[in-house]
Amino acid sequence: MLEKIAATKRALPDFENPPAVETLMGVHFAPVEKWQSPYFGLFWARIKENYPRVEMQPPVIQPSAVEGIFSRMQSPVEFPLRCWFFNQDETRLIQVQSNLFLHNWRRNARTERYLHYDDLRPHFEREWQVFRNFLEQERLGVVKASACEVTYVNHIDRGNGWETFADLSSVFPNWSAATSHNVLPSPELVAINAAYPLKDVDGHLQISAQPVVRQQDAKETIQLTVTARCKPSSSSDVDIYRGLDEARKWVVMGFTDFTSPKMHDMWGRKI
Amino acid sequence: MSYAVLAPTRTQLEKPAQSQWSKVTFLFAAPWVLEALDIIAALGNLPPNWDGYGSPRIDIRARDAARRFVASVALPSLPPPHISPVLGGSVGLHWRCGDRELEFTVQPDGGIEFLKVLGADLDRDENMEEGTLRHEPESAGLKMLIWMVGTR
Repeated sequence: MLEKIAATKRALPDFENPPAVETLMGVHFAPVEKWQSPYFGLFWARIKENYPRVEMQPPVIQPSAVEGIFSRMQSPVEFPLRCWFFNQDETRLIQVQSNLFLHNWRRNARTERYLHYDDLRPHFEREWQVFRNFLEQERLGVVKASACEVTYVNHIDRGNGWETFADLSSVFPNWSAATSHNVLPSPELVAINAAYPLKDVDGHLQISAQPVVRQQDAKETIQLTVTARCKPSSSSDVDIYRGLDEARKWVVMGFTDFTSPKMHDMWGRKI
Repeated sequence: MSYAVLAPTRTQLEKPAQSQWSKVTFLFAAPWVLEALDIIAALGNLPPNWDGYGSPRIDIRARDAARRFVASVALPSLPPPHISPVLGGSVGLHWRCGDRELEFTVQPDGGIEFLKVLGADLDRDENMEEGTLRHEPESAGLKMLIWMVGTR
């Protein structure tokens, strides 16, 4: 079905009130060998005017990279780290680690409207250029990009299209509460994980639907996370931006295909 | 020669780091959370003078703050809390793990008081600590709960 949608080459689906609470885009690259903790501070100095708050975080580690990350620890005091840089109104965030650069946007009480990918990509481009220039000027090496990632985090609250987990088939058409002999009662929790190869692109789409409680307001919701990772043709800016556009396209098409027309109506589908 | 040691917190060890910013609690990891949230919400049904000593109803602000607190500290290895109404319209949350106990009282103004107990000998001052969680109470409460369930 994803392939069929791709083949139509029509404009991407668009929604009046999408359930997205957070989007992120970024680049995975080969570890910058010379990277050490003090470089977080030097990089922060370049963006501090727009990103005045900082937080240290454990690194995001892809399962395939665990061994590499730890074997590269040169010193007993150098532990892999990630740094979060927050903008003034805490709606945007830059994440940096030795092999990753991400830009997040999220809804919060001060968010005026949903920001589309086209609104956010210029922000990403600007900060990405600052980061690339930083690596170059500090003689840390050049980026060898391995993947472009776009992720949309959606919250579908209980009461908005579903009341019990047995109702989830009306949200996700590929899921059913039916069992072979009707021995089992209705499920009290349901989670779905799926991965798809991308057509004509070196990449994958991952979709995860997880029952969660949002800590901000203790509301129960289904967190639908849709992530596309595409390998760019090269590490040039043009190819990285093209890879991000491709990943975003598959995220939107995957989200639309994975969810039901009934929910699309609720979210005010325009195209 | 001395080395700096950067010790990951228990939560960092128990789940892989995420690139997601929005904070959520995964219900498969802490399935007791929903029941706890329902119990706290149901405290709103208690009538005035619920204790026979003239206590007011359990304030909605205390209930909301207690729900946010529980949703934010739900470590996978944490047992469910004992939840109770408290004099003055507050919500009480009590956890026990071996000889360690933590009691939080969530007040109508959203403030959270704590009582930390180590060991059975309550006559020894060093076995008890009490105070108020002022700045980022959820983070401070989480650190205490990590202490409670930690290795000994």
